[in-house]
Amino acid sequence: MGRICWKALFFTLLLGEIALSADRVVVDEVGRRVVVPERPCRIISLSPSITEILFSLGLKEQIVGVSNHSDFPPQAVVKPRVGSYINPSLERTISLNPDLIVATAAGNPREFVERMESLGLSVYTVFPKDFDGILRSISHIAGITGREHWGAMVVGEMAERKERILQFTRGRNKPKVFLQIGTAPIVTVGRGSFANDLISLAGGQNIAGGETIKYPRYSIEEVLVKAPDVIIITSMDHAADAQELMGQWYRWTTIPAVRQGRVFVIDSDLVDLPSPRIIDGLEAIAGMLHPELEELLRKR
Amino acid sequence: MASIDVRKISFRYTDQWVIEDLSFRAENGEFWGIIGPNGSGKTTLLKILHGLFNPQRGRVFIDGEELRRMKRSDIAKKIAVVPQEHQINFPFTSLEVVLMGRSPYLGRLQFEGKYDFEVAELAMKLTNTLQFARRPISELSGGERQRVFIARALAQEPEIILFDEPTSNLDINHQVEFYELTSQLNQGKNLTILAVSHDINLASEYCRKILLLKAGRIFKMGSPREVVAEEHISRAYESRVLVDENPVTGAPRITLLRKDMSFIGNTEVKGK
Amino acid sequence: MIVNLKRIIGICFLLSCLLVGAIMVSLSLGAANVGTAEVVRVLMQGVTDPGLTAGPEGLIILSVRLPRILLAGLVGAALAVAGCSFQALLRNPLADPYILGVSSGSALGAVSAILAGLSTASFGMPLASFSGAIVTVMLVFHVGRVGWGLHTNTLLLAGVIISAFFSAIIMFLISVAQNDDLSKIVFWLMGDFSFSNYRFILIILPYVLGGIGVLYSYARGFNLMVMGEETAIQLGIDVERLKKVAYIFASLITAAAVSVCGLIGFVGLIIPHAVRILFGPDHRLLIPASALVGASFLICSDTIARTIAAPTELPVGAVTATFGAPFFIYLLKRRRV
Repeated sequence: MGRICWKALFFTLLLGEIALSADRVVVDEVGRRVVVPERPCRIISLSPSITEILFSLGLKEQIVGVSNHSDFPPQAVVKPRVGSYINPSLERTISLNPDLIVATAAGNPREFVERMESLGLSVYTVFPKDFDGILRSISHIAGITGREHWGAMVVGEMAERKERILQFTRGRNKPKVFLQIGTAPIVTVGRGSFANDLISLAGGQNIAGGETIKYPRYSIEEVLVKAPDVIIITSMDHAADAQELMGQWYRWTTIPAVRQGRVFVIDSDLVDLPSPRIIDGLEAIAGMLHPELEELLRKR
Repeated sequence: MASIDVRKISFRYTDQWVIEDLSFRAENGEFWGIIGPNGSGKTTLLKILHGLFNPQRGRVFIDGEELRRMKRSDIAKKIAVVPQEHQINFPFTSLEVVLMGRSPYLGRLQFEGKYDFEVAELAMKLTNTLQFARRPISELSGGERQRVFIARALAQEPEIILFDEPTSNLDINHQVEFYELTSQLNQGKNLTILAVSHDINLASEYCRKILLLKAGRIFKMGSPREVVAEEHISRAYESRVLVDENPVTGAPRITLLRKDMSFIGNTEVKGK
Repeated sequence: MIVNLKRIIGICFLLSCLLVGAIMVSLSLGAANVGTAEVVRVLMQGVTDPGLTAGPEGLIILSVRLPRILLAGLVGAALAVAGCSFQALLRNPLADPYILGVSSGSALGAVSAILAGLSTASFGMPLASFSGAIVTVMLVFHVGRVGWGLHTNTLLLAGVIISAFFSAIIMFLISVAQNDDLSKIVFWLMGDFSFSNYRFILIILPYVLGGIGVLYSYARGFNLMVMGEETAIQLGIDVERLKKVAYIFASLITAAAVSVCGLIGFVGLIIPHAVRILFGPDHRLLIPASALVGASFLICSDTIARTIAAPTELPVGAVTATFGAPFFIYLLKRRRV
């Protein structure tokens, strides 16, 4: 009798699992209807930031392919490559037999996503445009991969840290900030870029914040005229060419940031990527703008 | 052989008349030399004679048929043109070039047949170019190339052949060779031949009739003896010449005089 | 080489075998590891049991590689024949199909379409590019006309000047383009087969085959044309009509080819040349042979482009130039051009 009960229970659970493992239809962040399996176990990421998000949700085993340059976290380095994010390889992607592909509308070609769909593959596209958008993307990805509570944890922590900074900077003076992402020519960040959003959240004023282009080119003169209090330079190279980068500003002593020695270098991965590390970027920038806050953060 | 009847033609490119009121008749089997100073309209006349240009006034008749009304391919079957020697950038073999002369007889999508090859071979034999058959025409010398063009003209099985300054780029031995060949073709195959020439002596030696042009009009027309005379040549070319006879053949021969020479009888007198 | 029907058929048959070989080899190569055995299996399955839904291998072979290979072949044939025609028209063995402005017109159409947000795989892209080409061709044709006829020197100058003008506009558009559009534009300008699909093939097939057919029917005329316009006229060819037909149809097939894959250089220049050196300048053989060799060449170039640095894809225009340039130099040295 006991044995029959066990078998029956097992069988019911099995049937239940099969019923639960049905595909669902969801709407992704660009409005497309996507059929996703209940628990995807062969996931491909089409951009380094998405790779980071997947890893942060504990999906290391389920990832079967990542885009080139996915090098964070270090475990991502050994995952098979499917091409660059502006030109992913159709063949590699298909040959890895994925049941879910996660793409981003900011970078992956639309034609690629459409092609994948026409071949019957599930592609979920995210499109984060600012800090809160990143939080939403992380939640959505958690939702479609069955990692809701992981997602809630990650997002919760990020939101909490952001809130702390907002509280601190409320009512304080907003220093003028110039954030430089390119040296020759000089390129800065305008409306629509993550870095611009970070500067506002960190209680600063982006001097290029009025520009409608995401990455406008600026001349030295414009920077001189707008006289920022803080200059932040992003660097892709984690190694220290920092001195050289900062050095290019030292002769422009009329700029307040230079006079007060408030020229900083920051890892571009922290301010440019829509990944969980964006909160680190936010905290770093907040520390640069408000030195008092930096001590507070360090104490924690 | 066929006759060319040119009746009072006038032609201009833009506003100036290049040929004015020109009439002459080339009978079956005649060998004409067309001479005259630059700008006299020699080359233009030739182009009109094979229908490349249509004269604004006057008419041209080939064997009684008006040229203007003839179909291009029919013209090509009657009249062949040998152009001035020039370089070709495409590596056609000599035989291929000669076979192009068969074009007027072939349909658009038709390939050359046995008869066409026979005609081409015969033409190349006559012009002594058979040995070049498989060689690219770009590798031949000027004289050899020209003989291939003549073979091509012959492959058209024409009744009239027109030559445009055929010897201007050739060495003297080739020049004579050319006129010898042309004479043979004229007499042997009874072709009507018109050759625009800048070499008065050669024309006078070989041609049976001479047409001397100046400023688009006929200055003098007739046998070499009639045309190649001091009064006509010196006035047409506005240059002093001495005309005597070729010591071997007796044909009229010109000698150019220097500006500071005058000539009385047989003695040369220097000075102004 | 003296050309007759038997020889043409014989040589074209050999070249067709070469083409089929190139297709089979290319089907087996790619970023994914799908070899010859699978190719044969999938193709057989496709023939015997088309209803069966293909696994990833089938998908790769039939939906990714095959349309791409076929499109590359079609484009290669079109560009090679256009090259032949322009070389005959301009009496210059160094002309290429882009010389009379088709390239800058298509590029302007394509760049404008990309900036307007059109997807490069949509129907709108080839349409925009094709329209740009046609407008340019008509413009150059109009400027190149002298009275009733087409004056080749004027045509050439008109093509060069209008090209330069459009290039200036393109440069301006590029300078104001944003990052995403920028990479799309660059890939298009360098030649890109990554978005090939069967739809594109069907769109350009009638233009390319029809155009090649029409041009081939004028093959003897081309032979005579390159000997000189006056020579051709006096041998009975309607040269003015030939020039117009050659210009219009060669431009048409170039425009069609470029509209689906961008600007791929060298094919139109070196293929007719190489074929001329191998088989002679008679267009009755040159045209079909160039089409077949052009197809094989571009298929091989595209295969190299997508495998040599997999999973990254090189632009196919870079491959044709890399192989084209030294090969061209070798040809120049070996035989007088």
